[in-house]
Amino acid sequence: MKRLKLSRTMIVWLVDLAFILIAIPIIPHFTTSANFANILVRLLIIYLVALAQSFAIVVGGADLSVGSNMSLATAIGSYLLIIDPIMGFLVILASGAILGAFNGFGAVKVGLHPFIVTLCSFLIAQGLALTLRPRPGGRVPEILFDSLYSTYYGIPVLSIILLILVLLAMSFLIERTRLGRSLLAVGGNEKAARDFGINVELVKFLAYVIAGALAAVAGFFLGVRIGCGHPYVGEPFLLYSFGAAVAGGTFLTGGTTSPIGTLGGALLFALIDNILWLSKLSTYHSLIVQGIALVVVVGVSEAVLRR
Amino acid sequence: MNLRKNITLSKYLPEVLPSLLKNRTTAVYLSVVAFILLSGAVVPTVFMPSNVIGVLRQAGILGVVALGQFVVIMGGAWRRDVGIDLSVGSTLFMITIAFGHIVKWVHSDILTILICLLIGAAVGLINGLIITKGNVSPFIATLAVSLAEQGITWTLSITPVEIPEYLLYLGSGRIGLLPIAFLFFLVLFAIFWVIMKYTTYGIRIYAKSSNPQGARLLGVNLALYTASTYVISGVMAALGGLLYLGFLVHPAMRFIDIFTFDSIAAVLLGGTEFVGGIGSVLGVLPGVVFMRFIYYFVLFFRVPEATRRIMQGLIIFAVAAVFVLQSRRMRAS
Repeated sequence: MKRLKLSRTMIVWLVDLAFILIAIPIIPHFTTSANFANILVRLLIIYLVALAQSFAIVVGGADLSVGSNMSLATAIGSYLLIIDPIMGFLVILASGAILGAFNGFGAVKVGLHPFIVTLCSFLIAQGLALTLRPRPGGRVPEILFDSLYSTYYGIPVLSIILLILVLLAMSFLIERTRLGRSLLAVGGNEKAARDFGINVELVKFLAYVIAGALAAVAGFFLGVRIGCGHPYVGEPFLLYSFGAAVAGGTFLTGGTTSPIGTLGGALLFALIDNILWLSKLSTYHSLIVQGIALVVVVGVSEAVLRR
Repeated sequence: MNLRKNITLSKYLPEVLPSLLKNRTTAVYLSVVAFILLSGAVVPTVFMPSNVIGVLRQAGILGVVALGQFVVIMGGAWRRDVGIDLSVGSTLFMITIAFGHIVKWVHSDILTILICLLIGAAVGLINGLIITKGNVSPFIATLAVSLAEQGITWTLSITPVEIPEYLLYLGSGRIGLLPIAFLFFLVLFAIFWVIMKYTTYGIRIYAKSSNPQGARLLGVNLALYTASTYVISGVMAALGGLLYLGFLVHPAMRFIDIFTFDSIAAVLLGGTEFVGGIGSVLGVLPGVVFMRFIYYFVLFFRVPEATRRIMQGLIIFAVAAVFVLQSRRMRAS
């Protein structure tokens, strides 16, 4: 199982490397430091939401609400961050965790299919975001944007530090803590996990709460990036979250995930978006390329792993 | 026989009801009817003719898509991954926009409709091949295909199009209180029920769902049957697109996908499960009627769009919860 996970991670990183090596000579402005910062911030957002999704997937579920959860976070942020950034961030975090708790309650306590309950919370979060911000508006303090994009000798230090912190925290959580191991155990074989004395219900519930909180944090950074609250801005990230998580080695059957692989998967989507944007192709073509890249990465790694 | 059954039913209803509820499909029908009657008691105007027609018409269009989704959820599982088709909404959207282009190209309505259905089949075949030959999980394969389809659709422009008379009739016409789209769905519903219950194909799909390895040993070509479910779903999504076009009249680029997740939710609420060969085509009807009824129901509360979304979410949650808890208690007793 360990080798399998490693290989999938390696494949997605190799594809990323190939994309970068091809892009450097042929795409204009790809190597500028402004673009570097751009890719990293986008990567940070996609990475956080992909991690959120991987927590739901790893216990054998799925979270359809991550996108509107992010929209809601930008809407909340556009009111509160200007007053007090720390309080605003905490409220965003709490809103995500509450949505996650709703999902966990529905999926675990009531026993609804994760698809149904997260469809409900998708609608609810969407409605709340629309209530707060019927139209894009509000303001996020520029200082947050500036510090996220600030470069030191051409290197966007803060986003790199944040990415590394998230990666380390998640790797630690998954591999070194009791909760992380329980998550993998529950996703891998629920019955066996129960026999080992793991509180399966609690672990599953917590997975949804973590997923909701992480998606909200992704929404916080998205709000900082666009500088306002927007009721629909999170929607495309639902697809990115599944794509990045699975391309990075999270299996939809549950029980397996890899924070470093998910980072590779997120980078894949950040790169495709950025390269197509720089080559002045429309968003529409970007969608087609993303679809094809997703199938190729997963299909090829599947073929390689089976050998 | 029937009469006798009716007499006993009314006499022993209190005793019969629990066992009736134990049957999943019956329980779904009863829950949905109860919910609709209850909401009618709260807001009597939901039974206005215009509302009934609207709900049934939209339920019919969603139902056509949901029938395909049902076949995929029942028989589209591949290796360890469950079957799901996330591309139906994008296929439907693509067909509504592509229709005008194809008509200009071939100058024939019938041919255009055939080409549209073929496109649906092709999309399904691509899904099926990616899943069975590429061993990509259905979730990811159909997600990727739907991304690509959206990309293709957005690059097409909207062309003004003369929609053929009979498509308008299918999508917008009605006989009394019954929209043609709903009747059309009912016909397909009956056909699908027969196929899934009485033909070799349907029985093999159930066998594959409840025990894939056993089915394989009995000579079911798993790859072929898996891929076939996606082809069916693709064709049904294209057909849904044609119906939707007949309803919209003017296709628009502002498209909110109310088909993909709603079709899945309708099938799941109808009592079908992803594994184990559990579920029936019969559950699709109450599923789609419920999913569309709540859209119209929340319109009657004079609240903004935002609040309506929240209400929809809470209502689906509540009804699904009641259904699940009910069937759990029945199983326990």
